[in-house]
Amino acid sequence: MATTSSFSKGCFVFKANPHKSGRSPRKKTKKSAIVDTHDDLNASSLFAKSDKSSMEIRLDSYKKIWSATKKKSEEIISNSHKQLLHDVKTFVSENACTGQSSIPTALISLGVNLPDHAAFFSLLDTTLKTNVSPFVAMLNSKECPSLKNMVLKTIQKITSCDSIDDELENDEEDDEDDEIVPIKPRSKVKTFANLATWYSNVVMKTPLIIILQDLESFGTQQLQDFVLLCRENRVRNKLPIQFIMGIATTVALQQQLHHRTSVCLATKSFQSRPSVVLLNHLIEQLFMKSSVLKLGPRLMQLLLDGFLYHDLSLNSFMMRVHLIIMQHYITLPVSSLCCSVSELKNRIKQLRAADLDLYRQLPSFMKFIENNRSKISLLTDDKEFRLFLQKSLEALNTYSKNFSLSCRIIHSLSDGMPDALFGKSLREVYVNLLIGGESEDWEQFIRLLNVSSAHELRTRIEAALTTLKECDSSGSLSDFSTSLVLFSEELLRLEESKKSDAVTSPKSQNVFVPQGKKLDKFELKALMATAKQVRTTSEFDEVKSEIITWLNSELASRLKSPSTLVFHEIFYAGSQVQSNWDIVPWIRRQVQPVPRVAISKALSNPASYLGCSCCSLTGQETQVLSSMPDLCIVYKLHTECGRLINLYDWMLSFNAIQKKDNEDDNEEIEPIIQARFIRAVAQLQLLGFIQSSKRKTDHVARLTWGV
Amino acid sequence: MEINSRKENLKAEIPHREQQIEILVDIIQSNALPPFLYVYGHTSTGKSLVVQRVIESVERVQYAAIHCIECLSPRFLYESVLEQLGSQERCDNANDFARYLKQLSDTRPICIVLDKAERMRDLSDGMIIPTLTKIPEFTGLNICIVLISEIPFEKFRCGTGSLDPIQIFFPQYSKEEILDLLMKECPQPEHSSLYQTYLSMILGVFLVACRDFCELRYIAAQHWEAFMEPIHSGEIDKTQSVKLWRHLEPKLRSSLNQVYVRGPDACGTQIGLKMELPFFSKFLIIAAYLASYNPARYDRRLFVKAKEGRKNKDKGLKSLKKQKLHNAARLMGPKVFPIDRLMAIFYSIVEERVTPSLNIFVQISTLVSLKLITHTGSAAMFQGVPKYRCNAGYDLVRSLARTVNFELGRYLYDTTV
Repeated sequence: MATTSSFSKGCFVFKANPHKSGRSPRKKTKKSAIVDTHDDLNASSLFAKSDKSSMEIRLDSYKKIWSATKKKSEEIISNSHKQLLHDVKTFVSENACTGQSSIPTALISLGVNLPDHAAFFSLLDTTLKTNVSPFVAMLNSKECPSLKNMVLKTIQKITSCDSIDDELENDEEDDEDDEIVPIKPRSKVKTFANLATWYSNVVMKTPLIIILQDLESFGTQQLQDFVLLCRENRVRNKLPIQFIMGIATTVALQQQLHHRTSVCLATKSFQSRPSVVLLNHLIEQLFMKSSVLKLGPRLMQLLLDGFLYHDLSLNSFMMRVHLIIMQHYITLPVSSLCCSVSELKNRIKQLRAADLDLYRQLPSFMKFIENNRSKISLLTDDKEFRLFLQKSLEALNTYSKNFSLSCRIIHSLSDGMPDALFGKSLREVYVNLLIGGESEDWEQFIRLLNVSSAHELRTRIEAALTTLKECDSSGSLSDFSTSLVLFSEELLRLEESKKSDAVTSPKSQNVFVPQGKKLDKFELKALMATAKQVRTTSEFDEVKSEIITWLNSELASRLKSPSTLVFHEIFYAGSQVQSNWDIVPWIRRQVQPVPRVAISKALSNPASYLGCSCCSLTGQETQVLSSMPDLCIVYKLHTECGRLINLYDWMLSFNAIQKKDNEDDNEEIEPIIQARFIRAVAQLQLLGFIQSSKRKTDHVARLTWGV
Repeated sequence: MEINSRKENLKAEIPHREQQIEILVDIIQSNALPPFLYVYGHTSTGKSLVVQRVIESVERVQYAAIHCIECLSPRFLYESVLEQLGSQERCDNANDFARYLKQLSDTRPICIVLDKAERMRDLSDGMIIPTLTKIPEFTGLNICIVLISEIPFEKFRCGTGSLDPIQIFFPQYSKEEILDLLMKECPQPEHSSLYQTYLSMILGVFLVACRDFCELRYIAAQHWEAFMEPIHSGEIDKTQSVKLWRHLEPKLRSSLNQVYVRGPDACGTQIGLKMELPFFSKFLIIAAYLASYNPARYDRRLFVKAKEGRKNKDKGLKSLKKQKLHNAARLMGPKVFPIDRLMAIFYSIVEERVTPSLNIFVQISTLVSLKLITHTGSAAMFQGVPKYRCNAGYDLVRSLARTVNFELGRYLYDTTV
């Protein structure tokens, strides 16, 4: 609060300097910005508790973890675009020399998550520039409000590519890093005719590629004109123009590409992978592999809700992850031990006695002590506690490794079962098990395994074995895999023996049925009962029950929710902790901002933002105090009115509140009061609460009802 | 003599435009050029080509050809013309333009060709064409302004001061002419007689719907492979034209509906219908659709879940029935609705409790930029509540509703009543 002079609550954007390379300065400003806004909430008291050194350690590990996460996520995202990039590149180079009159056009449907497209297009831009042609003009609708700008931008971008190539012609240096290249007003090349003469002088006759990033947002008429122009020039001036158009959905395409336009284009459509698939991949790679910080069930749910229900955007997903990682390290003093196992021992050594007490306050530890009264000495003996801490944190680490492996096993075991037990994808399985409370699914799972055939069971176990082999490099679950191998061998043996049985003794099954004799109902029933008995005692069923008991004991123990473990708060962000360490409500407020609630809270209870003692309410929300800002008083008065508000009555009550204190019976309204009232009403209108009414001139209409 | 051979050359080059070539060559060839020439006719009737070739072939005139889509200001027009005539002057008004034209070093007669001239009408209050046509008069130079357009000249008339042009009309090609023109582009010259049979089949089906030469050329190229397929495989002999016709006809009939439609290759519509959207966006589109196609009066009846809304049922039913005769809401197109109504319907149809966070409103603006919802009314801030209109069609909304298990039919008033 002290760092900014505004009393409004908000987001402060500190624009990073684009000239400085690297992300570190930007990150720092962002961090400090967040710390600033966060300062006034609840962190300051916490920072006072933890000393400087721990803060540094936490900052250090935060930086390490975030840069690793960021690098990994960027890698995953760019890898996912590889195929599409390759396809587009081949399309462009294939059509490079065809002399057809229609313009070769690649329509790339990228899904509705518009903010994510930028990453793809910048990749595409560099790929095309290095592999196909340096003449790439990337346009988005924001920089092209009219056809004139569009043509100018295109030509300028294409020619500026060239001027970088041969430095002789070029006097002024273009800032290539900057997205928006400033328009050179006196540039020689201004029209397509000029471009054609320019192109005839260019040595490399590579295609001119025009990328329209967001086809939907361009004006229809403008787009049509642009396409007609390009086509005219392709035909008349022999400019090898090609289009690449990014579209979010094909729904509006018919409207956007009018017939006159589409006859000029020879289109081919490409499609990116659905972003949900990418998200699954991202979660598998980021949180199911050996990452240090994991997400607790509540935060995971929050992130998934944000993604699936609101934006489908990986960009904002990663931003939220960033926020969580940062907040975890800032808020939790115990997060100084949230590091890789190799560093753990050293860090525990460095902890001071005061720090240890923080760890003792963790709810999971307190619960542990309550259940194990014999270990009560841990509360007093620092040395013993240090050892215990190390042991349990290491155990926690192996646990989480095994947990994600077990998730994979469960996924491959339950794959293709009806009702999609535990979830269809690996991500769903992981999240469901992380949240816990899937006992119904587990029972159903066991039940389904019970009724499955030997062959089915074997294929499932073998699938689990292959996933285990793929993922378990460290061999931490080797005993697990050996028993799985044993089971599958057993099943295979059974199956083969059964096959041979079926060949050799087809009649053996009919041994109970006397040949050629009709059975009556009771006999048949008895026969079936005996048959059933025989079946239950078959060798296969023994193996099956063995498998199931084994699964119940081994796998289920590995799949218990992390919240049952001691010190899980350190590694699982957003676990249930003391209220002042709990980051979930804070994160929720940042991720799902509710501006309306914030405004009405500020107006009905200004003390919560101003922090002054004069306007603090003593109970009811509706109380109006004369010490409050005028805007608040006007707002509170207006909430008591109906749809139409008489301005004069409103002003009288405003006057009455102002006069309440000095007991003045004078009916006259002072000009200063009137002016203050008018200003407050104007402010209220600006905030969108009221609107001037056409029906009655001296009335205003109220626009909001309730919160 | 020379003129005649020139005419013959051009006629050979551009068939079926003999009359127009004749007139144009005579005009351009004459010593005193007419100040204003107006060439018009439907799309793809060879206007631009004929004019260009004729002017190119006559050496004693110099010319500037301008494509009017690119002309966004008079200045651009003037400068492009001057540039093509060899002057590098900067010029942004007609006065300077006339002056620079006089100063040109080349003193040959000048032709200024303006293609797609109908686009010029909106430029500088529609005065650019009268101004241009007066240029020959002002300068006293031998200048001819040629306008090429698709609309009759009557649409250009405005106010006073405009000259009446010499009009040259390019009629559409007749069936025989089209056939002849298409024959020139036979993909496999060895099959030319077969190609002729094929073309007459194509024209027999499509000429009713479309006379655009370019479109017909596209259609002919599109189906050639399908036509040749049974011949290549040896199924049908190439002399059995009746059999060939039977083979081709159903394909032609089915694509008759798609004349002028060129989506992204065939699968385009399917991509659209299975598009992925965030969960709440789907509901927002459904809500927008309901708000657009249901009259606001019946919202209470349709969306109030408790029984209280039933009181007026009978009365509502009667008036609805009366209305049903001429409702067909879907045919009337989407109606405008305020954002409050959209949100009210949205909260009522979403089963879960939704925090009215900013994320919901961001989705609305995303949908607007995807053109699934359009923003109507004034864009100015503080001008009342924002209003929208649903842009998504019934098929799309229905398929979206199916993915979220929402019974669209129950909430649409023309299907419920």
